[in-house]
Amino acid sequence: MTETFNPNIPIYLQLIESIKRRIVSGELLPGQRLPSVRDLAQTYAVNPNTAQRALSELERDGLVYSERTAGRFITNDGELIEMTRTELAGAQIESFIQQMRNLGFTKQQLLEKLEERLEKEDEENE
Amino acid sequence: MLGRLMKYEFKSTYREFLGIYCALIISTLLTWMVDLPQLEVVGYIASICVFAVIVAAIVIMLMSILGAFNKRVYGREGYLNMTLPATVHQQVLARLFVSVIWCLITIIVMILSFLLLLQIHGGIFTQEILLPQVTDLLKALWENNVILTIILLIGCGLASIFGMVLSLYSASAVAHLPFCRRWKVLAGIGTLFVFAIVESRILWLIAYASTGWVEDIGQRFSNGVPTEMVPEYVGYINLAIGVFLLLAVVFAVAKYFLTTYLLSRHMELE
Amino acid sequence: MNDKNMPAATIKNLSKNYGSFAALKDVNLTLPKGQIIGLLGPNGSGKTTLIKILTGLITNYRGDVQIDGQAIGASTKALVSYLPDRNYFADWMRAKDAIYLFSDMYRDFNASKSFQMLERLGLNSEQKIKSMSKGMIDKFQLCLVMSRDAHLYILDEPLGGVDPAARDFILDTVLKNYSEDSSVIISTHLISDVERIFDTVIFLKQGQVMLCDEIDALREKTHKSVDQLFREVFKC
Repeated sequence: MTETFNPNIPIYLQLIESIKRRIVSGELLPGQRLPSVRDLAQTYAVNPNTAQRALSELERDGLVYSERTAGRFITNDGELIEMTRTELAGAQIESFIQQMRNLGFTKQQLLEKLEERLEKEDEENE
Repeated sequence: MLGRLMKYEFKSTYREFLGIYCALIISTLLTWMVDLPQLEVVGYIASICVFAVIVAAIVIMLMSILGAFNKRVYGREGYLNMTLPATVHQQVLARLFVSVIWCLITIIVMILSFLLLLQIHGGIFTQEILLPQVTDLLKALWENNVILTIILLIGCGLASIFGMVLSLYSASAVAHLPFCRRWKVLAGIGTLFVFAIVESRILWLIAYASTGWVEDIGQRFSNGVPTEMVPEYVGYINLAIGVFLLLAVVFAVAKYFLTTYLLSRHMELE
Repeated sequence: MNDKNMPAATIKNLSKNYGSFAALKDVNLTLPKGQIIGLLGPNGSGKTTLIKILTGLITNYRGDVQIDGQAIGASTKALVSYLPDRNYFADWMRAKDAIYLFSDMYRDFNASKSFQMLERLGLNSEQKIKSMSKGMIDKFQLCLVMSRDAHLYILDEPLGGVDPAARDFILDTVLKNYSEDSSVIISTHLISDVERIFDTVIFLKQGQVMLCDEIDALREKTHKSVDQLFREVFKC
């Protein structure tokens, strides 16, 4: 199943985010070998040059490193991964707050709604 | 590449042509079965049928040659054939050679049918007198330069066959020109007419220019040809045939270059 | 002749008329190597005409067209692998006959790859092409085209009239065969399904190039998808 990308935004940026998410969620483990550019392009059904660009940026950010003949690997730097997790979470939180504000919620109402929902989940899990 | 193109052209055309040959041989054999001595008329009618089949075979053969060219260059298959890594010359020559070979085979089959017919109804090969007569005939032909005549005549025939096929190809190329597209058949027939007119005109001009020479020869031999002069006389005949052979070659070459020019500069596959 | 920087194709001042109708008007394009290029435009915009000129099926035009630095001819035809929008096989051919023909005629053709693809598609090589369904013939033609190691692949409307699974198969095959030394031109008017695989897109409107740009640059500039841009440019 290929991931759907928003065609209005450069695909390579979305590809970078998708890979970051998979690193942060643990789907891709530190030190794990990444598929080749061509395989990546095929899996995501994107242009190989796009895949190449995404991987280059990830390399620049340090999340991915390449060993000349062996290929590309996920970093072992736990701190960096944590930072990325924070970064991605921050973006989600920003987006959530903005959306709720657009719906007319105040800060208080927003927090209440959030607590309600999380408590309900705890109850269901017991 | 030329060989490969010819191979596939043979593969594409052999079914049609084998069909024609089978029809020829079978119809000839059929007249044998109708060979009832009392009803000679039926035998003659059957022979006429065979001639009709021969004429039909020639017409069908020409149509097959033209059809093959149209289909494989300009038709749906053209999208495959004309994008193959071959030059225009290779494309035309491959089809030309294959068509000429089919023509020659057709002629051989027709001759065989004819001989078969003669054998069935006249039994020419079962008569014993034949062989020594044939060797005498061949000796006479050789001594009188007539072997060369035969070779030149065969050359003429061959050049004419090439010319005929190339006429068809050129006509097709002209008919498929962009501005002729709506009147393809007309343009094709018109082109053939133009060729016929131009070629016959040139032939007539040559014949006219040589009337003086022909009259001279006619005068010299007006009282018959003495035996020792026969080789010289035949030599003149050979010269005349040689000139026509040359003309046939020139016509064929002109039509070849017309075809390749139109294909390499004015082709527009639909 | 193997210059890494030589573009896959250069088109200069190309014009083509059908009688009084101008199909292509002074087209100038440079198609880079190693890219997947979308040739986009509505029907009648000149896409097929441009493709026929590149593949050598139209030889009367004005302008200068070169592939890999060579004029269109037998040598460029050896470098181009072309998938037309129609079935072009002779009636007598079986699937294997077509494979042997390609094998005979093209030095860069990989017959075993072709047979493998046939198997994966569930096609029988002994089968007469005439008897295959249209969808099967389309896929078979694609197999043949992609089994070549060409410098330029040209696919003319490969997506029209195919089901989504077939579409995925086509795009997957194109991506699988991608190489830095070759380019792929895909002409289509069905954009949204396919825009994520293009490097560069060319918009052709009534024989003129409206746009020829790298896709990410476009997205960043306009914040629009190619599909959206297309609708704007080609509004009726």
